[in-house]
Amino acid sequence: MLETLLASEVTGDLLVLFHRNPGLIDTLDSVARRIGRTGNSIEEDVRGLVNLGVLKTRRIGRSEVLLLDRARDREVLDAIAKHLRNLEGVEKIDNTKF
Amino acid sequence: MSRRLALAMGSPVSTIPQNDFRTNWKTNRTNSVVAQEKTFSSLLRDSIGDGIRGALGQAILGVLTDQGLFDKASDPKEFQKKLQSVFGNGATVIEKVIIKDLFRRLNIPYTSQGPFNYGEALEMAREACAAEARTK
Repeated sequence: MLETLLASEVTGDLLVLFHRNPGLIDTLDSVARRIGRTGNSIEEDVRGLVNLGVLKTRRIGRSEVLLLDRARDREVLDAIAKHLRNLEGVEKIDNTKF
Repeated sequence: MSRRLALAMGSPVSTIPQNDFRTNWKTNRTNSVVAQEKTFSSLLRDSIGDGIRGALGQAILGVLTDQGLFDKASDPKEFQKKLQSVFGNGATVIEKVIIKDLFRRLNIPYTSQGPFNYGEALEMAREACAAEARTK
């Protein structure tokens, strides 16, 4: 999950954009413009986040729009937080001198 | 007229020792450098917090804070090492998010082109912060 979320600078920008604007609903090209890029250049990263479920697509009229799936996003981030907390526990045990 | 002569002749002369101007100047300068560093550290911490929260949410920021991430904020190498140990290759993405946030606060244009170096970017931000303080 972390690899997909932090796959590239674009995914980082997309996460920041949608987390700071959780109600954002926009087309691929417009989302790309918001982070200073073109639709083509972010397509692959968007697909990764859609496959993970953090972003979802919806059809509005003739346009396909992107939006944050808040429930799934929270689920993914909570799972990562839990994983990191567990890792911390393992590191502490590893570093303990017996 | 020397200070001693002036005093003997009853001329008005400052009772402040002559080297006070230099001492004051040095003290003020040191204080301003310390103040600048404090301002920059505070900006950096805000950017680290807002950047990580923006990308990965409050829960993950909370875990990293508990793990002492902010204790290493002032040392770029240690900070990078910590990020790398947690996020692996994804650490660079987080570094970029932080730098973008910091540059935005300091009105420095950010360009994605070219190689990225977290330490150099921080230095650039530190200089911009100092320059801004000088103009105030």
